[in-house]
Amino acid sequence: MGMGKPPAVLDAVADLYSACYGRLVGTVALVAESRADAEELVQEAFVRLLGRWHHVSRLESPEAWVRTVAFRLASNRRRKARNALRALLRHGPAPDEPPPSTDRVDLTQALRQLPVGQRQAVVMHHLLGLPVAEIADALSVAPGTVKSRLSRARDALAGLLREETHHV
Amino acid sequence: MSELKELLAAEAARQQPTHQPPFADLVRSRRRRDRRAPLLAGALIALALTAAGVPALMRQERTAPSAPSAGVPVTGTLLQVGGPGGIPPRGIAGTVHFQATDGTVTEVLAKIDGRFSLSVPPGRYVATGTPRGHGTSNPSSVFVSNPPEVPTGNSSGAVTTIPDGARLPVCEADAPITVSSGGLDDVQVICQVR
Repeated sequence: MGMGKPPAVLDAVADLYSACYGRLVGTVALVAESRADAEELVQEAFVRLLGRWHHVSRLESPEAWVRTVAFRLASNRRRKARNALRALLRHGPAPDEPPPSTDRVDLTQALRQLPVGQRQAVVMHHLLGLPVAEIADALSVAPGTVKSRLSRARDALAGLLREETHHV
Repeated sequence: MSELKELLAAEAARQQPTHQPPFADLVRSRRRRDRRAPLLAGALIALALTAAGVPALMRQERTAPSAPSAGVPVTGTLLQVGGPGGIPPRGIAGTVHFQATDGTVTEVLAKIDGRFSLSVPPGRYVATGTPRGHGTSNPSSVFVSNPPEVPTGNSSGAVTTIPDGARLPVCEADAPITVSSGGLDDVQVICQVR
């Protein structure tokens, strides 16, 4: 673990954490089961970053590295379930969030009906603007798999969002 | 799909937490968790070993013979008895051996007046001796007596004369001596000479 890291590394990672934690949680929450789950994933990714800062600090975007790690962690269902339980035990039930406005389509609910792989592909491609090849590399899958996931996700979301729109 | 991008961006912004835990707290909590992990693993291993019947092994260990304890003091005298002209018993220099029941032999030198002292663990011993100048002792060729407080009868009844064939003073006691945890004094190792 990175607990014995030099203060300079701790400071550098802490700076990155302060700068992009909220943004990363917001993005990862679209893939995770909940925001608490997303926070746990992002925190785990940052802790891993401590031990790899020497390498990651040379990358173009350390934030992207953290996000990718969080996405990969989200893929692990068993880990995800365990983290959710930890988050529940550590933080208690999620605080009450303001109810969605009536004119807003609950995209999160629609996303959570998709398999996690499709969620990852949608968020990475449509929100983060990553090309298929880069997504495939980040998720360790074939580019064709990413294309397939994107296609299925778009079809599913189109139907789900249409339903939501009709219900609103 | 630009609409999807906008929806995703809006949702991601809405999902952002209003506050974040300090990074130092995050590291500290992880450190605590890492410290607890080996303890938890140890506890699980202990639990598994318990279920596997280790208590039975431990009970066996507890009832197994203990290692030799620390020695207790034993004192005595190497005496020469008999000889021409009815010389009274007197202390002589030599070597005294205490052979334990497990075969361990502890050796000590007797001074010119025959006195010796040594330290051995409590137990039963066959004590033998060799007068100085008579070479190495042999339990079958040297007499050992019990200490006075151990009733063994008179010396003639307690001593068996070894068949002749050597000029060594040869005698052997009937019973071994017992060294208690409090030690033992006045052990007499008697060399019967003709």
